[in-house]
Amino acid sequence: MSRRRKIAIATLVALVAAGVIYLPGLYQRVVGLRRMPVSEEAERRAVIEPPLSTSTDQPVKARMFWASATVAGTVDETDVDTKLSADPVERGKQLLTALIAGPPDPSRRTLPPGTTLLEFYLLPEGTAVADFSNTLSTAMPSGIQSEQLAVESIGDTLAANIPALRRLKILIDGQEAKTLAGHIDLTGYFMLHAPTPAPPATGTDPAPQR
Amino acid sequence: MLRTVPKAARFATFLALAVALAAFAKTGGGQSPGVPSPPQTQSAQPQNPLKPPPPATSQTPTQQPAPPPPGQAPRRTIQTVVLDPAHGGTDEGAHGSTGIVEKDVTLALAQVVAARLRRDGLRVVMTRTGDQTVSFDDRAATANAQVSAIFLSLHVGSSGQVGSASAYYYDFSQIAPSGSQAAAHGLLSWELAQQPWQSYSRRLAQLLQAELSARFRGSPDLPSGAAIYQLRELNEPAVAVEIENVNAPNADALQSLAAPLAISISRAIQSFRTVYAAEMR
Ligand SMILES: [Zn+2]
Repeated sequence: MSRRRKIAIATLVALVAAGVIYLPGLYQRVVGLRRMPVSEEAERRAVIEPPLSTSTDQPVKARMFWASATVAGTVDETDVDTKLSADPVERGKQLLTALIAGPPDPSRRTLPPGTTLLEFYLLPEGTAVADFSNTLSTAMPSGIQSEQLAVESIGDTLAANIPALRRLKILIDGQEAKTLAGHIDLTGYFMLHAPTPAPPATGTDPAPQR
Repeated sequence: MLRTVPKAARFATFLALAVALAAFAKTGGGQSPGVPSPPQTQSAQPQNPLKPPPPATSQTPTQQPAPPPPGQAPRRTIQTVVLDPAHGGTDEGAHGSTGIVEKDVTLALAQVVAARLRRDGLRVVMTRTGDQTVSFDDRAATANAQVSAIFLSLHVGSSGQVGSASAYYYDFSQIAPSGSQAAAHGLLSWELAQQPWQSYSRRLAQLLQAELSARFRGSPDLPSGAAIYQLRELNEPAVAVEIENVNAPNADALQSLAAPLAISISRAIQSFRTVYAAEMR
């Protein structure tokens, strides 16, 4: 047997042996990677969901925007007595969680129940990024009007209570989505403008349930 | 030989390890480039709200020549209506509590509207004539291949007052495009093809909404601007109409809206043709 042939046979044997050693480990890693998105999402939820009250919370009238009960296709302001953090990121999480929890009148709901705010963070120069669970898309009543109301309620609520915000990016499950539920474009950044305050109210609604 | 084998084996093991590492690195890819990262990653740079941010989409922008500025465009008359029965195929659109599916209603409505517009002497191009899945891009491509055309997308919503109807145009003031969509060197990206036509689209939507509010109880008097994905890629005046809604008691209740819808669209387009021709003169 020539030396070259011996080397070739030895290399083949070694490759098979290496494969036997490494393939089970590789398989475990692939299985682990497949499971990872679920555990990552669970971790993110764990970070966001429990403490909605923070050490800097102050009693305020939160300006919340849900679907108008009187003019179809528009959002209306409802002032809610609650406590909001002075920290804009915490404040944003509190506001969006309250928005999802829903208005005192369920018929004015703009975001589907079961939606979770997975992440909320700020980029420099007033760009807010709100990352929602897939339920926002899958359980959203499909339609131009309903999707537009959802985006307006999110944008107006953030802009009214965090004046430094200028733009909003909405993500679904950590990813950029083409549309919210088939109609409204999520590929760009929504421009935020603080809505004009509502005229003095005769009373305020109770804080929404969380 | 005894000395050769371990060397070869070590080399082979190294090779296998390298392959395994490469495979591991490949499967462990991170987020898509379109997703802004939290601040701590430092990958998202400060953004000037007036300046388009870095690419927020993985789409490759197809550069298209910008349409002629509306005031100097050679197109003087509207001859073709691209009628878009929204959704279709695997994209069923909205589902009603009584089993109504948006894609079926939009097609049925479009057929009635098309017949009316053909009687008016207009050429009608449909983006689908059956239950096909047609992408946003393919619908836009169909529309953008026409000369002297307008685009009208038909939808059925799921939340508004039953029997009402709303007209929409793409409002670019509501949304800042992502970087890859931004115009450069006098060219306009496919994704922003609608931008130069916004004022015409708004005018068409106004005329349409006036007709709709006269025939559909509960409709608004004015159209709405919204960031409707389908409209953004269109290189002509483009509007969407949403009839309410899929939770109607039965499909006949929605089908009965086809005739007034066809009249509304027909009249609005006639008015728009006059306005458009006058401005193009
Ligand atoms: Zn639709």
